[in-house]
Amino acid sequence: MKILTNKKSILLLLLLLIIMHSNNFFLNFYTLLKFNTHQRMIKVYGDCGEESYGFIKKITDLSDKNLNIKILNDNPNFSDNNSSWLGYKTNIGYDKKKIILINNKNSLKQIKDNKYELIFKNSNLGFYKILDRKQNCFYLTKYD
Amino acid sequence: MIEIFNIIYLLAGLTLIFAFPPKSVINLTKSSGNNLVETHYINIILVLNLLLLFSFSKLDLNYIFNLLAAFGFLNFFFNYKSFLIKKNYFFLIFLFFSLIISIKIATNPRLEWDAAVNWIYKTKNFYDGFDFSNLRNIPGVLSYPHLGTYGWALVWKNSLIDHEYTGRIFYAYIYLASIFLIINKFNFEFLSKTIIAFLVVLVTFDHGLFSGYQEPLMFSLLITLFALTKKANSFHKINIFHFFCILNANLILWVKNEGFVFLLIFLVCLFFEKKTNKKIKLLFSASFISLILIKFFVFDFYFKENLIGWKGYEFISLEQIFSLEILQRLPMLMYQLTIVFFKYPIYLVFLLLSFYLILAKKINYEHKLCFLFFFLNCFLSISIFYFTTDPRWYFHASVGMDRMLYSTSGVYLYLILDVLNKFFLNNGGNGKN
Repeated sequence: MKILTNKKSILLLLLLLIIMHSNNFFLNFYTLLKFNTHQRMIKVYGDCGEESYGFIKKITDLSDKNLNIKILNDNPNFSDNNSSWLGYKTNIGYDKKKIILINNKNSLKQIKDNKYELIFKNSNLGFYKILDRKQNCFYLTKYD
Repeated sequence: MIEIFNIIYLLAGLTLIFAFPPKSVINLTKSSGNNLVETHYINIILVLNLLLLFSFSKLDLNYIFNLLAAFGFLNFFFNYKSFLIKKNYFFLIFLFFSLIISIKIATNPRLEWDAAVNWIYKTKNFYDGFDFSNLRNIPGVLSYPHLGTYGWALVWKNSLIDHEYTGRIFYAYIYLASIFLIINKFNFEFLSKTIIAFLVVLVTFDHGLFSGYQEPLMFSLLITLFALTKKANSFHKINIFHFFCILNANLILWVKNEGFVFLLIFLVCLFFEKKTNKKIKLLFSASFISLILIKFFVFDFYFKENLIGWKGYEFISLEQIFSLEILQRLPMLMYQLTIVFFKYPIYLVFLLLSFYLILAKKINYEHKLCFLFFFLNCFLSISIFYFTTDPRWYFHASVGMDRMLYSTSGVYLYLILDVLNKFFLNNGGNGKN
């Protein structure tokens, strides 16, 4: 195929550049080089806020790998919980004692020092203490 | 840099996997005037059907990937002449586009709504080594089909980086392969083909839908169903391309539940097709209905569950159909339909060209079939929201109708490319090099 005559080669090269530019290729390429996956995930899902990827990732990395942790998202804009898949492992039970609460509005009511009552969307889930916290994101365990 | 290398690695892996046809298939398609792009897509259909079978077993995804890549490599080794770059510049452009789109997906790896609450769990099921039957143990809608998520899991599992977005390169690859297949069917020269590929991607690529939705896969499979049927029917007798069409139809059913509706629309259009002989029409009808029933029985056998529409969907009673309360839905649904046309400019291009063809009296029989598909498609897309008892019908229409219509939008590329092709031929014969 004699497509690569000089004139056509230049046209092709220009076209490829236009295609790359219109798809933000150069910016995307730079972004991939500059920011690693974790940083980009935090950028799109938030550290604490939105789906709170950063906080959930930190907790699930440190916790028992053989159990899933229930994630409660208090953001009223989400009718379903679209953070639950973060850290989810198939066919593994849920830790009955631990909960990650993100985007907390008024779900936690302090009873005393580190004793909180968790009322999530009108259902009382019992008493919990805070193991870890970042802004409105909480890692809770049952208060014994 | 490792992520860019990983993307290149996965694209090379996918190219190898889909470079696996039996040698006879290559020869057959070559003898009927095909090239690497078309052969590649036929392999995609064959391999996806294999993957569908594998999804019912607990076969290790690494093993499947390596095995298929090894077959691809052997095929490349023994048939290297058919892969020579000299003949396949357009295939290189396809890989170039695949790289650009994959990098785009990697840059913004967000999963959109349905993907984050449904599809990702199916993907994780396969990623974690479980089979189809285990889907009953995971969150999400059980009766959604799973083929796309199996492909997603396969690529993710074999990625050098353990992140779900890597698996979504699978969707980009197949989406682009279908676009390149259909463009390749027309008599454009190399540079024009590249420009057209750019324009088609420009009007059909929606980053949101590559965020874990199954629509890009459906979009691709519908394009190829039409492309392969046209090819198959050009021989005027039953041939192996009809078999590929049936396999393609099977994939459509296992990507999304709407698949069977699209197949029925396709069948209606086929029945109006004059050139297709009765035996072929009968073969397609019998095969499609059998495939629909098989899928129905498989879901019934494993999960005792099948779904039309969304979870809890029920049809309104007959006497309600023309009641004022229900009729009031029509303007809102028409409004939604109009929004979709603007959201996906391929519809605008199609409608503008259709008006041009009507005014210029240049409509041929194939264009009429395209119009028929368009009207049936719009009618059914509206119907599903019109006939439901669900009081949230408008919400469902606003989040679902666009995706339904996106899935089928690739079919209109025929009319668009046909008009462009004739335009080029009439203005200086921009034939193939």
